[in-house]
Order: sequence, then structure tokens, then C-alpha cells
Amino acid sequence: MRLPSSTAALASCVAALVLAPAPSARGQQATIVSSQVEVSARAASLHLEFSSGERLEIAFSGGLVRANGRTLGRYEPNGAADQAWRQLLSAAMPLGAEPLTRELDQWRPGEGLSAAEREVMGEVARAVEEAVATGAPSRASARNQIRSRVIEEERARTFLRLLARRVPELRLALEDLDMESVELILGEDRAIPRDASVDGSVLIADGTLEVRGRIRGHAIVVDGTAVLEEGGRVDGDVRLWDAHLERRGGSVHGDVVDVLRERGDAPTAGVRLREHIRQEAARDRWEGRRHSGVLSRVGRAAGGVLEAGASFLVLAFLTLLSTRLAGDRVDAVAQAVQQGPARSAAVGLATGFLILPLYLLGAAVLAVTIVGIPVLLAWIPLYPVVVAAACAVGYVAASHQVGRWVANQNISKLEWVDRHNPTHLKLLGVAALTVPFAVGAVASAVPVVGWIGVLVQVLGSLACVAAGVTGLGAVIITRGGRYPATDYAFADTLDSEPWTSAHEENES
Amino acid sequence: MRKPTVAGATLLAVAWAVALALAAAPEARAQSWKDVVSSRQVTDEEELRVDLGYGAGKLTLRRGTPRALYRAAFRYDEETIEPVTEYRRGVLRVALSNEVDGRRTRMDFGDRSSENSLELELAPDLPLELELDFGAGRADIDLTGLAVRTLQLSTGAAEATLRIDEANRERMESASFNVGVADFRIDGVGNLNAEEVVVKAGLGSVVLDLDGEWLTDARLTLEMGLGTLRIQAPEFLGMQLRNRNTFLASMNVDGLTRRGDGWRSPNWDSAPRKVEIDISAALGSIEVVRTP
Repeated sequence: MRLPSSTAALASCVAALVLAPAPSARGQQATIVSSQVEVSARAASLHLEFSSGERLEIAFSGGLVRANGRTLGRYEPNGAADQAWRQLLSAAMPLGAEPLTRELDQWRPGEGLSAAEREVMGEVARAVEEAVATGAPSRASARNQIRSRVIEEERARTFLRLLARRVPELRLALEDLDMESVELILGEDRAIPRDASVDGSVLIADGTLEVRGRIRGHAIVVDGTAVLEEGGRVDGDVRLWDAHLERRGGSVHGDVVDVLRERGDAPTAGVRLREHIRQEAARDRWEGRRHSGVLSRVGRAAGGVLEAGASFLVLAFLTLLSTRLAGDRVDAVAQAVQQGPARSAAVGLATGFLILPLYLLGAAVLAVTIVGIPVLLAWIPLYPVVVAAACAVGYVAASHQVGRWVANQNISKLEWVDRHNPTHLKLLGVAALTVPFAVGAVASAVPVVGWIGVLVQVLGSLACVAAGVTGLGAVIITRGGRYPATDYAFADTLDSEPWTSAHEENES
Repeated sequence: MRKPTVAGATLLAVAWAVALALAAAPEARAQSWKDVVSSRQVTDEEELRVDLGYGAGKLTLRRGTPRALYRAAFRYDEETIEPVTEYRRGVLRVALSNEVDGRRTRMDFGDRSSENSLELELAPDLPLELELDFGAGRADIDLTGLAVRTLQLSTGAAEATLRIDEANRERMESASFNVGVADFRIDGVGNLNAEEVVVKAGLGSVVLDLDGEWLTDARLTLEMGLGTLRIQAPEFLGMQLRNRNTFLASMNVDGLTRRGDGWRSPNWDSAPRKVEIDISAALGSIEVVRTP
């Protein structure tokens, strides 16, 4: 079967590029300035930086092979392609720049690859080879160059090759195109000023080409608009591929060709190419956002708020549970916190230091006695449980006091809180102790003042620790809420009823 | 008011314990080891400053190949740690970060953290300013063949050794070692080519082998908290030891003669190189041994 002339030309160009890199390119091998090899069970990647400032990053991760973020194809984790790549990276790890350059230059994918893997590995090998040969990674770095929008000729050729391979119908638009002098603009507008001229052709995809000066070759517009302003001139054709032309007084010396209409192609080809280009543009925009870190910061802030919210819900549930099961004991502990916070804190601190020695001492004493051995079996798991429960009850009791303090601030938004309801006060206290974490998470996402958020979170942590320690001390002082603190002079009448009942119970 | 019951209290305790256990227990997950090797070539650098912060694991630092500015080989758990290798204008920063993929993780300083490792190789031909901050684990630092201009080493709970088998080609402006709770040993203090060496140790054992070429006279300031200090000094070296402040520390000085509030070697006047040592110690033992 005879290939159309454009296809044959493109194929020969591709073959020339793929099979026989130019001698000049071979002659000026790039210098690798820095390299990074990363290998883990789930991914393996190579990052190179060249003396020209170019970068190449090839990553095998999650079943996809990417070069500078652009997907080249798929691979099977632990398959032949994956192993061949990892073998190369293992060899590259100990190497300095020069031997690494030689290793990469000589590398060829191994045997046993499937047809699809062979194709992907061929792309990888070419990306590596071209990068090492010229320091200008071809299609691999095309996406990185999107920001500069004008892709160098060498990469333009390879990018076109990629487009042509993915969307064969595009080849008609590339007919007679001088691959050595094409300017490729992807995802951005290009304006050619009044007195400027472009010696070769211009291919713009997903953008607007505004011509006030002169294009000596063809103007090819894919999924975009060409605007020929007054005085603007295109010596060759204007080829529109799912695009349109606005003439505003400019001239075209060749033909104006609507490629899809000429070929009578179904619009699916256009859809495919547009989709492909949009994916590139979207990926670029995503990269930009990710680079700026805004989304990441917002995500972290939202995560922090959600985390604080979830913590509150768990603590609130446990607060309600403890109130339901042992409300008057918790209130007695809260009363002790209120009457003597400093004493409670001191006792709590001292208890904190004694918890572990006591645990070990108890275990040791029980272990050396025959009677104690069965008790030891209960001691080992139950002691931590009791300590944890004491800490938790103490925390809730301390939260009660925090809630009371917050309620007494007469904050307008908190008018709905019933200050006579101990449960309300406890929940309010738990919320108040959780709020700094949410506020801190949000504040730390704000540039420049992010440190304030961290500070707020640290202060919040200290407040929680203080609440826990003070509460633990109060639990000890009241023997778990069974013996309320003796000084009632400052007892808060709001909570006197539950305390009184506990006290009366005790006395009776 | 409902009277608390044993069953209720037990249920409450169990609920709290489960909640706390869920909150406090480390995530049950398999560790996922990752190897990362970063390297950079020497271009137009005239000197290199290295800021190293390594939390836990095994650290190895040594001379690299001539044209390599640095080579850092990390092995770490990618779920909890992200290595940082940043280079900019003559400053290399190597560290471990606990921010992985934008989320903060809990660094693992448990048993498995000892499997983390960092091998750092530095350019032999460039003057180096080293600021090394090492947390816990084991550090093997070999300065042989490197040109070190300044050196600051801080360790936490670590077992650290530093050796230098050849004289440092750069005159070292200062060498200071801050040792926390650690076993610390320097072999070849005489090769540091430093006029002033300061060792501050909190708790543990410190061994200083003063062997080396001693291109210059030097002053050593040694401050010990609690632990043992052993100084091994070659016989050719003139030594003067001053006991600045020892609270409850025993001194065992071999081959030196008492002179005022300190000790001096018999060859002090004739020795080609002299080293003055000031010692402060709170509690422990200090031993000085002369080696042939």
C-alpha cells in the first residue's frame, strides 16, 4: 500500500529521528550537572539536570510511565519493562556524571517485552538518549516548556511526531512542513508584531495566532483561531484543523485549507486531538497550581479543620458517655478542678511522673509472690486502662471548667448555651480546647503569617496537656470522684446539685 | 441522680481506653523502604557549605570522587519521611522532613528507624564548612581526604565516631562538638589542623585520640556533664592539662606531672607541637593515657 506523500515524509522524518540521531547531536554530548535516582516498591524514577539548564524526569509509577509529567504509556508493575528500568536505575545509583552519561547513552531496554511495553520503552530510551545526546530532552520535556510556550525546533519535531502518532489524521495538516524550522506553540496565544517575521512555519494548538507581521512558511492552527490583521501576511498555507480563520485585512499567499473538511473526517478526530491537548493544558494548569502550593495549603487547612472536627466529635461522644454513666463523679472531679486548679495540676504532674514507676513496681512485686501472679495477669492490662480512664475523666472535668469560663465571657454567639447545664458546659469546654487546632490549621495555610497558626496549635496543645494534667490531679484528689474536695467555699452554685448529691452520698 | 455502677465505670474505662488507644497507637502499616541517590557535579564552586540535619538512623559521611560536589544516598521509610537535598549557590542542605506529599507524618524513632540510612560523600577538593546535626542512631564520619574549614557537629542520643587519617589540607578555623547522650570518639584529632577544638558532652563516654600530624599548636576545651572522658595522646606531643572545674570527677593522669592546678608532660618545653587542654567535668572519670 502506498502511503500518502505527507505520511511518507513524516514517517521518514520520524525514522530518521528515531533510528539515526544526527551526527552533530551525537558529537555534542550533554553534561549532566545533577542526578537523582529514586527507587521504591511502588515507583522508580530518574531526574537529570543538564548544564544547559534542561531537566529530564522519567518516572515509572502507578502503572504509568511519565516523562517530565507527560504520560508516555503504561507498564506492568514488576513486569519486564519495570524490571528493565529498575535495572538501569540500580546501575545508575553509584555512578558519577560521566559514567552515568555513558550508562544512559548505551542503555537499551531488555528482552522479553510485550509489543506495548516495547513501544513505551522505546519512547523512554529515545527520551534518555536524546537528552544525553543534546541536553535538550525532546518530547519528554515538552510539557515543561509549555510555560515558555515556544518550543525549540528539536522538541517541536518530536512533539509533532507524537501528535501525529496519536492522531494520524493530523498528518495532512503537516504536509510539506519543514520540520527543521517550525515553531510550536501549545496552549497559549502567539502574536507576530507588525515588523516581525518568522522564517519557518508556525503551528499553534489550543490558542490564537495573531499575525500582524509575516510568516514565511505555513500557519497551522489546531483547535484555535488564526487572526490575520491588516498588514499581516502568510507566505504559505493557513491550515485549519478544527479551527477557524478571521481575516481582518491580512493576506494568505498559499491556500486556506480546512483539513478536516478536506479529508471528510468524522469530527471524532478533532474531538480526540482537542481532548489530548486539553489534557495537556489542564495538566499544566494543575502543575502550576500545585507548584504555587495554594491548593496544597488549602487542602492542609481543610484537613486540619476536619481533623479537629473529628476529634471534637469523638471527645463529645465520650463526654456524653461519661456523663451518662458517671455524671456525678465527673462533676465532683470538675468541682475539685474549680476549687483548686493549682493543687490539682501539681498532683496531676506528680502522678504523671509516678505512673510508670508504679506500674513497673507493682508488676515486680506481684511477680515475685505466688499469690500475686494471678493478680499480675489483671494488673498488666487493667492498670493502663484505669490510668487512661482517669486521664480522660480528668480531661472532661477540666473541660467543664473551661466551658464555664467561656460561657461567662458572654459571647453573643454562645447565648444558646445553657450555663446551668453541666453537659452543655463540658461540650463547650471540649469545643474550646479543640478550636485552636482548627484555627491554627487555617492560619498556618496563610502565607507569611503561617507561623502564627503553628503557634496557636502549640498553645492549644499546651492547653490540652494542662487540662489533662489538672484533671488527672483532680481525679486523684477526689479518689475518682468518690470523695469531693473539702473546700466548698468557692463552689459554683451552678454545679452544686450534682456535687452535693455526690457529697451527700459520700457522707451517707 | 443515678448512682454509678461498677459495670458502668468499667464500660466507661474500656471506652476511653479504646479511644485513647486508637488515638495514640501508631498506624498499623507496613514500612515501605525507598532508596534515593542524589548527586551533583562540581561546576564553578569555590567552597561548599553543608547543613546536615539527620534525625535518626545511620549516617555515613566521607570523601567522594574528585568531580562530584556531593552524593547523598538515602534509604528511608517513604510513608513517614521525605529526604531533602537542596543545593543552591554553594550551600548544600541535607535533611529529613516529616512532611510527605504535603501531609505531616509521625516520624518513626522506634527500632525500625535504625534502618534509615544516609551516606553522604563530599567533594575532596573544595574547602568545606560543615554543620552536622545528628539526632539518634549511629554516625560514622570520616574526614580523611577532605578540606574542612569549619566543623560543627551536634549529636543527640547517638553513637558517633569521627576519624581523620590524613592532615586536613585546610587550616580549620574551629572545630566544635556538642554531644548529647552519646558514645563519641574522635580518632586523629591531630589531623584536624585546628587551633581550637571544643567538645561539650552531656552524658556518655567520650574518647579523644590525639594522634595525627599536628601542623599547628592547639587548644582543647573539654566540658563533660556526666560520664567518662578518655584522652589518648602520643608521646611526642607536649601536653598541658588544666583542671578548670571538676565537681565530682576522678582524674587519672598517666605520664604527666602535676604543676599548679594542672598537669604537664615532661617534654613540654622541647615538644615540636603543644596542646593545651582545659577540662571541666561534673560527674564521672577522666583518664589521660600516653601512647607510643
